[in-house]
Amino acid sequence: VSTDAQCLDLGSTFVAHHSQLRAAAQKILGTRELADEVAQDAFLKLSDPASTVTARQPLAYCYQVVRNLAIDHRRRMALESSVFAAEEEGADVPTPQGTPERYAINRQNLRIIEQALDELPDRTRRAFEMYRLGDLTQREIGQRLGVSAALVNAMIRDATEALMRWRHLLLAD
Amino acid sequence: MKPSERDDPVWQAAWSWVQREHEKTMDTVARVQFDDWLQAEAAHRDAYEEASSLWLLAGLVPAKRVGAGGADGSST
Repeated sequence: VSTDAQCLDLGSTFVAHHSQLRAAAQKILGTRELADEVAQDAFLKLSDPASTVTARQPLAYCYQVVRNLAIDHRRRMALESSVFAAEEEGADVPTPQGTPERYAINRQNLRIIEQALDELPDRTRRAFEMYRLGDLTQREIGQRLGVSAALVNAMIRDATEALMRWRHLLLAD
Repeated sequence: MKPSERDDPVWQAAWSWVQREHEKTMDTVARVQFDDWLQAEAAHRDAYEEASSLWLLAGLVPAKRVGAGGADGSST
């Protein structure tokens, strides 16, 4: 499948399931307005060949992108309000020098991360996906894979270390 | 963004906060510690931003395994 065809596919999948996808975002963000914002952002990313990658299950991937963008959005809002509250209380919050470094969400960076994860042993990759995407606890992952929680912990550490090893190749936003 | 930053204690701290946030294991005390850590140095916030954007990227890579993103891919 070519990238363009893939994006057409992701884009049309998104459109066909727009209201359910927005509902998934709203569940995380609380308001319709924020959900619309994130859904729009997700749609732009999914329908742009320069910012997405090949996904075997288009609908599952649309949900994955919406969910993760929504969670990140919520996290950023919480961060901003906690810094704001500290300043209101008169705390001397240091101002970051310039814009903090964020990695761009684009095709190239996603492929680098994909490659880092591809290098992992199959079971480690699976444990990491359950942890990162499936929102399972390390104990639950251990139960599903039939291994100890300590081993799951070690596998997740291996996966995160792989991400760290590759991160110097990532482009900043 | 040098490879040697892997051993940087600020980066390591930022990364473990990101993971604790993901695991939702932070209680009120940990929340306060996290806020204090963030506000102590601009470098902490920068490292945290960088680590959380790496975490986001990792969450946007399609699952290799069918169903890894949740039974039917949705959380509804």
